[in-house]
Amino acid sequence: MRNHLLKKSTRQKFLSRAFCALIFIFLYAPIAVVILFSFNVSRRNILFEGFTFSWYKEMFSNGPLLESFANTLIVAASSTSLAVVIGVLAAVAMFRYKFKGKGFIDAMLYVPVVIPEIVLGISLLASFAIASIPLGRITLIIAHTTFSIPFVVFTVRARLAGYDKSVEEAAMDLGANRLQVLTGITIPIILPGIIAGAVLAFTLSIDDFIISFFTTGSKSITFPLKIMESVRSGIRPDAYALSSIIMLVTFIVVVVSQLIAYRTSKKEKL
Amino acid sequence: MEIQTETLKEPPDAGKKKVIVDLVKVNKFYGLNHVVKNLNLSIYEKEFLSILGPSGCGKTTILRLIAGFEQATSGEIFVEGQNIKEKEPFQRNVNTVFQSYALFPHMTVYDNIAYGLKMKKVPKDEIRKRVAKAITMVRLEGFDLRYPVQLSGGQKQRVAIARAIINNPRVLLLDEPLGALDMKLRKQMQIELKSLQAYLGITFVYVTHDQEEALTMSDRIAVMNAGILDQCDKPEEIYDRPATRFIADFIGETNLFECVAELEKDGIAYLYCEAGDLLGKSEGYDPNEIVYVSVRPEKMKCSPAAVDGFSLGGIVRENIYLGNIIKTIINLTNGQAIKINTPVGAKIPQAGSVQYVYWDIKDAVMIYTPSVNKIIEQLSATNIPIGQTRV
Ligand SMILES: Nc1ncnc2c1ncn2[C@@H]1O[C@H](COP(=O)(O)OP(=O)(O)OP(=O)(O)O)[C@@H](O)[C@H]1O
Ligand SMILES: [Mg+2]
Repeated sequence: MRNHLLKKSTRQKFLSRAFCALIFIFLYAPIAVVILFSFNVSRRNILFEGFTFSWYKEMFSNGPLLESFANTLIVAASSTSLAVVIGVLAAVAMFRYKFKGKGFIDAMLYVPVVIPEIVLGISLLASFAIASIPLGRITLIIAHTTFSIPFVVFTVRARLAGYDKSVEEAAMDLGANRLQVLTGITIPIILPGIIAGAVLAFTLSIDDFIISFFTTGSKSITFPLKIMESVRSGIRPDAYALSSIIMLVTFIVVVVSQLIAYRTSKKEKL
Repeated sequence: MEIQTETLKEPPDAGKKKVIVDLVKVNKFYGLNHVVKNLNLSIYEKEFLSILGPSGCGKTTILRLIAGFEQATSGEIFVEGQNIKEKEPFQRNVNTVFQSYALFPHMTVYDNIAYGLKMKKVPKDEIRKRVAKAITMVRLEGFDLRYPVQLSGGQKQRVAIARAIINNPRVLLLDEPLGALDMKLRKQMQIELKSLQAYLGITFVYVTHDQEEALTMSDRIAVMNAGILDQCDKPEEIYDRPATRFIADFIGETNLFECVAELEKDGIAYLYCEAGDLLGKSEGYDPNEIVYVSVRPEKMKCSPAAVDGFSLGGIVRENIYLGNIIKTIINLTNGQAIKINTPVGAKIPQAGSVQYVYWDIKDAVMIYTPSVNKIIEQLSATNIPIGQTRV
């Protein structure tokens, strides 16, 4: 009887493991293929014909590709910084103060998140046209900031939900002025939320295609746009190489942010 | 470490007492909600003053007004003779121990305690010395590098206290600092806080809704009732001579009678209430004045026959054993339930029997409420018979 139960549970264990393995294969096999083919000797990505670093070398001599990548990083870094500053201030203000129209602003924050990207892209394009701002890096940064802000507000607000306002009063009681309270108490406490928001904003910006497509000019091509362009004439393995590098960068960003979050949560929950 | 305790000095006489915090005609509204009503309160140097009252009566609000987290709607607050209206919380020489502790979660015990000194740009060496001293004082040696989550409730409480007193405030405001602790730790912390206050010689303004805590710890107790300061006096005065009906009811258990004065003779007041006649101390009442009489359950007596001057008959509902005492509940003819505490072993009346309650006249606490009588005066001036009004 007991044996039977035991058997059943090992079988269940096996099944659940197999299921997990399938999910992982499903999720990561395409990624693995990209990394694999970035080392492929053959230019046609059907068969793996031999190992080479030559695509990585070629990538570094492919001026327009590198340029688009640099542009993507600049846009991502700028829009993330802007979104973090605006989003954090907005989240803190909405947490701390009661004001007229707060509920409305709250609801409006969801709009850029749920609205189809193509609609957001077109409306941004229309706005820039009306304001007669020439399309380019600036409009791209503004557009990316726009869709990033809500994510920063959400992650910071989630962090603020468990925040005891009286720590700010305690700090003031102990002689800290408002700026010292913000920099020494509020921001360090909500830092994990800020980092999570920044990582989200950064990754969203790096791989955004649709909105970038509408809001950038021909002089400010981003990496996803560049790839899309080259797809028409068939993807070259040097794009695979760059994709692998982007993956590596993203991976490092996520790991570092997780480490920071882990360290703060260890402090608080140990 | 043992906290060095000085014998508690009686607060000096009224003439010599130095006022350190003075609230003058302070009113506070939250919207239409009148939370603090015309509060006049002088707090003396080195005094342990408790603010006692039921939940929502405005205790926290008073502390927040003194600390500067709220602005009074009207009235003035003086600390050390200075009007603090224009001063921000970080400019006031008072410190607060918050009910929720409000420790900084991202800082160690050491950094929490050092925070106030860092803000005042005290040199590092001195900070180290003073923090070490404060940590010893609240007996948290070895906990310097822990984070608040790694502490028990009592330890957090000590950090909160150390963090506040390290700045040498003249006044320490404490908002129900022991509210979250269990009974045993609470009792222990009460003693520690009290000796700490005597040791530091600073003024404690201590908010609590635990009357026992207030009675045992305070030099004076300010009893609040719905935003009004009903009485501010020594604990024994509050207990033995409550100024209002509310306090008589709120502090300790009591039997309260709403009476009408009939006449006074030889120091005895002859009164009557709904349930019958009773006696109290003569304090110069006019006939027909409303007087409340409060008698503690331990002073209440009963007998099968009416005693001279009393006619408060009733039926014994039950006897409840409470360990060292027996509580007898007697229902009077008007339905009022009278509580009598008798030590175990003494004779107790049988449940269901008819009994008359009475007391020694010296045990009757007389509560005279001028405002109630003023209303009656006005009503009689307009010729409305008293019997038809409810006061
Ligand atoms: N920020 C606020 N806005 C509006 N009303 C408030 C605010 N703070 C307190 N109140 C109201 O003021 C009244 C007094 O509150 P307060 O916190 O001073 O009570 P308390 O005596 O400290 O009660 P407790 O013993 O429950 O802590 C309550 O009716 C409360 O609802
Ligand atoms: Mg309170």
